[in-house]
Amino acid sequence: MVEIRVAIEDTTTAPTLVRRLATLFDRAAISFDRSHREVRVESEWESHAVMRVVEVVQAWLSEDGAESATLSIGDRSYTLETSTPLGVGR
Amino acid sequence: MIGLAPDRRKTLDLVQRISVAGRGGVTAPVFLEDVCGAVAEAFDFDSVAAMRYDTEAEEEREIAFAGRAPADRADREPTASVSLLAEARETENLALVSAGDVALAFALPLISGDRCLAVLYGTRGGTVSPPETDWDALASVGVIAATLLEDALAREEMSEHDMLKSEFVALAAHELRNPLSSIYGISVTLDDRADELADSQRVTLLDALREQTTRTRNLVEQLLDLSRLDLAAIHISPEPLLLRPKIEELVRPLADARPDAVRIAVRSDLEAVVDPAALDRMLSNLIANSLRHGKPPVTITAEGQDRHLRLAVEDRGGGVPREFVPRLFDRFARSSESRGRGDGSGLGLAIAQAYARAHGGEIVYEPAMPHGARFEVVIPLRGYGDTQRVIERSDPRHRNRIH
Repeated sequence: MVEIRVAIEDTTTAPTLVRRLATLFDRAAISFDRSHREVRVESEWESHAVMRVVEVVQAWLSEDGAESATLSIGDRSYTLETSTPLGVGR
Repeated sequence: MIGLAPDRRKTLDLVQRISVAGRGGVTAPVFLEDVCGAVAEAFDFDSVAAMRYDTEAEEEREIAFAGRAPADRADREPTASVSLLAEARETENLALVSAGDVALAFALPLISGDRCLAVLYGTRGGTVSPPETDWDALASVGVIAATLLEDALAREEMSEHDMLKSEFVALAAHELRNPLSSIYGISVTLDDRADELADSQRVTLLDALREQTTRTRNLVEQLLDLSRLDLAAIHISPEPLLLRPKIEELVRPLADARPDAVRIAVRSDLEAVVDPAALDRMLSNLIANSLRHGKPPVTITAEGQDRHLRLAVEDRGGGVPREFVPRLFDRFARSSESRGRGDGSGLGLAIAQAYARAHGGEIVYEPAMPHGARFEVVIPLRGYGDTQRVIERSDPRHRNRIH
């Protein structure tokens, strides 16, 4: 089981992120901690969950106008910004 | 001896592992499972799957998988990122999803010639620090895996073809055995006991002999037809043809006993550029099929539409049983009712379909309304020399010519 935390700057945008995540994860696995400004996702399969959350957050950043978000998984953190490419072809 | 850098050694080991996996006539899924395992291990991905795009279902299908996954993985929904797979297929290149400097997923197309045979899709979690990935090495592995995968797919195709051929020969022998056994039995009876038989018995046996001989001859002709079609030894030579007289000519012997059983609803001036022999085989098989399995009236219609000639044969019987429809055009396929009656060889529709395909078209079945069976031959319209074109002429004699 892995918990993925998405820290967001503007809490008013949290519902749209939660809605997007709910299309891929069970709604019970998603929560919003207002005091820490974090949307959390629990999933059994870490690698796929991380990949999906990254994709959702990227889409949320580019389509819903949020500027950046920080993903934390365990003690590792990744900052995603609007300009970060989703797929980088080589 | 020349020492290799550890990274280079790792790549060569991986290449060797993949080459070995492709040996010994393995099937494509088994080979891909080995490739997925080798790539996951060598590049430290949690899981690697091989995906193929199913053009009929219009979705990605997982055909092999290796790595860590939840125990209930069998029930899970597809895991691959559709957008990443689409990007890899479109660019024919490695595509990545990264967070900062860390690659969390990759999609690597396995391309051979101009075909994308599959896409390797790998993901890793974010809790551990992954090593720096040698993407060039992964791309090289993709090239080797694609070549070996193509071999595996070609072997599978060949083996399937051999299996179909053997099945065909077995079925053909089985179908020929029945009438030949009857012919043998009747001949022996006539030869050994001719003096003991009454005239009426002799006539009955001679009639049966003729019937079984005709059945055998028709079956052999059908088998030869299919064999020529399989070898592509039949050349389709379209030529301008007035359809109605040709259809009337075909119907006459087929509906001899029941002249009112067939209605031809085709305009007398409708002309199309088609191969007369192919038209003969397609229509005569469809009409015979409708007369045998359906109920009159059997109606034949024809029209040119959307650059295609559409010829339909429709009857007012009970239609094809739903469970039999998927096998309708298979060789020697007969519904249980037809098998019970012992009529037909089960080759007629297969032959008609093969001729339609040789003509670049298709025969499709649909239930007729309100009941019955409707077979529609749809073939592309052609001009002379195989050039597709529509010719509009002011001469009223040519107004209905379809190209």
